[in-house]
Amino acid sequence: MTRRWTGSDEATWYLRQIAGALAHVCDVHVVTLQGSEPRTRVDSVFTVHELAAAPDTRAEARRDVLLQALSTSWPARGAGGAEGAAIGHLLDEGVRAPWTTGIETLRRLQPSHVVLADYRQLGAMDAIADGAPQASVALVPLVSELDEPLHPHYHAMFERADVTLVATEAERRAVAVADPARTVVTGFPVAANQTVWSEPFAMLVHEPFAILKESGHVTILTGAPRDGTGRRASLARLLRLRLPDRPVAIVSTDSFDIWHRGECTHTKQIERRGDLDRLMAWSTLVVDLQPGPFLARNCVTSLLYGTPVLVPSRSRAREHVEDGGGLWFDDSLELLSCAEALLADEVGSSFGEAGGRSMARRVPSTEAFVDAVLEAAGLAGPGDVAGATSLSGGGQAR
Amino acid sequence: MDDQHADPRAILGDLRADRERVGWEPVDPVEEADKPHPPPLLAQNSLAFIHHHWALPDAPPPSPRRGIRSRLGARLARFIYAVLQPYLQAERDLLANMTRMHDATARRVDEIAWDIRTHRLAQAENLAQLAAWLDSRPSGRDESHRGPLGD
Repeated sequence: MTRRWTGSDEATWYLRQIAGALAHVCDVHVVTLQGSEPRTRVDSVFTVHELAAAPDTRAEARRDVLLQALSTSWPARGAGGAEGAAIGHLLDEGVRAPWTTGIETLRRLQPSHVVLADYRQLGAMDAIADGAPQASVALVPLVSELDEPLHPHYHAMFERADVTLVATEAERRAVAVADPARTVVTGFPVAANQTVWSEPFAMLVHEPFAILKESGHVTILTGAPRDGTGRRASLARLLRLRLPDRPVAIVSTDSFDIWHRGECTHTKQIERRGDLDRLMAWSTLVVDLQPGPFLARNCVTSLLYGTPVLVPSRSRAREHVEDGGGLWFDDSLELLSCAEALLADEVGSSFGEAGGRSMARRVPSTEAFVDAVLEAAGLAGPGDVAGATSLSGGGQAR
Repeated sequence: MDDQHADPRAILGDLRADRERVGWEPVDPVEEADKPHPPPLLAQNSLAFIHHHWALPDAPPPSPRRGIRSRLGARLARFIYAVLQPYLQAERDLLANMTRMHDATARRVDEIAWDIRTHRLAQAENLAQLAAWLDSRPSGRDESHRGPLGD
């Protein structure tokens, strides 16, 4: 059960990996609030039940803004009493009730196992209690760095779940405050496409991008518009100014620019994942100013290619580089210093090799990931297949 | 309602990241980033033309025609060139020196342009370090809720 099934963000991608692992032994039905009209459709090996009951975006935004504001004060003020109840009501307003539309679907499907995505979906837990009380519940909280610390109003989700599946150690530490009954770190299966080594960045063979092939370049992922006035764009400019003799490729949300000795080659933004992978693989250093708040997947990909990375210290990406593979920065001065250190010949290559080895050990293979998910959900092993129950109606084994 | 909206948390994250700005940035050394950098003067076609054509003729060209008129014309042309020889030689010397001067000037201009550009890049490089140092200095504000980028 998930608020949103389609999307290009890391959380949606991870949830799909979970569902794919479960599909190895079960029929998987996705119950989601999204959709313009209630319907059931097939998506690859999944059956998607769109309830068309998505809450008002403003209600969700209000909830998240409130959570951001409360995150700075609740550890001191606590969350109990009348004040806590009032805050809980505000947090649930407009976002909890839509899940009642899923009760009938659950009663019809009669699942033996339910995977619930997003720790904020208290309404979904209510629907499970009403529509599928017999089912064991695995919670996939999808806690990003933007969600910490978890507000006590949502601790009940973890208490009611039989198992909590998290993607990283950082996420495990984040949910520990809610004291889940059982937490399993599944990792996430990221594969480095080796075909990128047969050809550099798609346009490199042509002028003026050939400069990227001739000498080691730095790639900066800003996550911001090219002409933005925000901090990320500024940091990218400072770093670019600090490296005038080295080609710097800046990937913005709306453009792709290559700077060298003050000259800029400007083109449209990178649209294909494969091109971004190529760019990172052939880089001497990747500076990610906005790592994904949930998985920091670009950093993992870069490390798998043996390219060292430089990331903000207060980000999920830091976990990936602490075992080697890069550095992290706290402020702009550290950003410049660390970049210069990583661009020293021996330092950069040794970090890159260490990061590649570390990430190869830590990133699970697809098989290992599937095994971890099935074991956590109680569906693991050939001996258990006979006892495995389908998530579809009827509880038939697959 | 069908929703293809971005996650509000992501939007909030973007707003937080962009709320704070680097206090001061140096001027970008590139005035017009998308304007093509002009080629060096030494590579100009007109300078190459000067190099190949500075030596003007100092003798009449041979006439392909035969006959008395042709021979008389050629003799007259040789007489005129002989009378003008001192002037033509002086003109050739002047053009030779002017060509050398153009060459040296173009070379010097290109060197100066390169020096200016290199100096501006070095200055921007140094000022970027200064901007980072200024940005990293404690401001006296409450830093307990700094975001991932130190904002």
